[in-house]
Amino acid sequence: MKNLKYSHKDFTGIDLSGEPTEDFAGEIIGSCFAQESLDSNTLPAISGVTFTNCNLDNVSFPVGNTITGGCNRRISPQNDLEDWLVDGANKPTEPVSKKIFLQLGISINPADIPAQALAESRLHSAKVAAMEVAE
Amino acid sequence: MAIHATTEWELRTTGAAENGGGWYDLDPGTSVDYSQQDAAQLALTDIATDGAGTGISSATGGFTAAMKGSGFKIVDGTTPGWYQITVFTDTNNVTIDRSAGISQAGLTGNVGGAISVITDSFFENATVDGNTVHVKAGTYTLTGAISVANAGGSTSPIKIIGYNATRGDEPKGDNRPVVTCGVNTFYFTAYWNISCIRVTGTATKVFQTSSFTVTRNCYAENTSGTAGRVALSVVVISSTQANQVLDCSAVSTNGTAIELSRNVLGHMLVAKDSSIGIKQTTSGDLIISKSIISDNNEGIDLGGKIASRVIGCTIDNNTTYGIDISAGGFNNIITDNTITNNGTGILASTTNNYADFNNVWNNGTDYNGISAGDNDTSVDPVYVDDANGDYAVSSSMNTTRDFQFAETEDTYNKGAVQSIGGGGGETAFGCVG
Repeated sequence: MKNLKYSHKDFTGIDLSGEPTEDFAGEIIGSCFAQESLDSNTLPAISGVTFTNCNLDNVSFPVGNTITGGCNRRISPQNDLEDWLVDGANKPTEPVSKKIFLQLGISINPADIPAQALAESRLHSAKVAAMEVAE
Repeated sequence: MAIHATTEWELRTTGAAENGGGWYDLDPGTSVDYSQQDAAQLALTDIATDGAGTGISSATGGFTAAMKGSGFKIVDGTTPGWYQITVFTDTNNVTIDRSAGISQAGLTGNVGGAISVITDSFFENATVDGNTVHVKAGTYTLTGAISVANAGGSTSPIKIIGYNATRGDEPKGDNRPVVTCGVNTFYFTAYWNISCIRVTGTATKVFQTSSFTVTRNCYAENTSGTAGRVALSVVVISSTQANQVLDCSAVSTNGTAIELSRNVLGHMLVAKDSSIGIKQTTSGDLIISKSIISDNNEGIDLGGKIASRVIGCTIDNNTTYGIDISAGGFNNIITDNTITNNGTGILASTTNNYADFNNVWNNGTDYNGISAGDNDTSVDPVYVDDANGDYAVSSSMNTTRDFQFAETEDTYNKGAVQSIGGGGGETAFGCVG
């Protein structure tokens, strides 16, 4: 049964860990629970809940529940001032905006992330460079 | 063949991800719009394609002549995607606009019904020049980045239009549909017209548009705790391209509300409660007009840039400065603004800028690096309710102007919002509801 309280809502950055578990019953559809910090414990100790087409990025997903579609990635900003998917060891694997990177000819190889934090994001610099080329 | 140019698509949260979603009146008097309903009109699991990939058959059947022009989502097989029924043969056979992969069997597909999920593949692969995507009020969550390289046509842009209850009802404020992005971007390139949409997220730049795109009555918010992130970013690639941002508002508490490149017209913008209200990223031909930039740490950052125009804006209560044209910025024109209650009103580093006919009042320092214009005033605008965003001004702000092409002089107020009953007429910002 569709969970009306938590479906089609925006909970970005919100800690719901203290909310009643019984309110999460059923199927939660199309909501955003994304967090900026890795492995955020922002859901209560629920079980038997299905999350369909939800954004659960950086949420530590409690065992006993189901994700259908949607996403539950681990994401962290890197020295190029862009957000990257990271593995279990928190090493970057690919940029979230991979498609834009490729369109602009920016390397998606994690080894090419600068060693020091940039003053300006690589995507922005690439767009400015594209302007100059277009001139 | 392809999806027809006049196709209208329907997005609503009560639909389904794999619905057909589109319709055009292929056969007037016969074709029926099945897109504006939650469920698919016909759902099949035994679809076969012929040797050309465009002939569709189903033993279960249920096709009707009324389905001509309907969107048809093929969910699986070699080429899943959104197609369009172009020919009705009989209850078991139709033809679609292009190949869905040859000689396949056992496919799943849905005719009609609104689409419930916003995806990159839909915008990239389904929509074509001239299409309109109607987005019904509701919350749409992105589970991947939207980065659409698919460009509309110069005379037939692709439109995304939010609505509340009825298509075309021009919703304001929270009645507009909202796209919640998380860390994903919502990015469209050339010839897209996007209106009546809210976009929120934490990405480096949440809502991005590029050349020849018109963004109107939209709201963007970046809720990231990371400094320097942008809510609404508009980038024009070359000097022969342009972009319009009209009646839009944005907030980025720890970053820049609105970021504009050259060759952009930003009209009736509201940028507030951010680290930077509006920031110009590249020099040249940026026009910011009739906009409200308030309650930011920095107001309008044109530092180091040239040839920009700030005209008829209300720039109020920004902590460090109202307008920054310092860092060598020159050939900028600042006129007809009301600049009040900022740390510094206008900050410049060269006199090679033109700033006149402004009302500059009650700033910590009214002018730094630039002198008052010969026609500047310094009077209390007596805003109606600036604490709540009502920047209508007292009639004492009226001034006369002899416009070059006007037959008669007119009376108007400096700043973005006229006084009620003032000669300049009332300015209504739709983007703030």
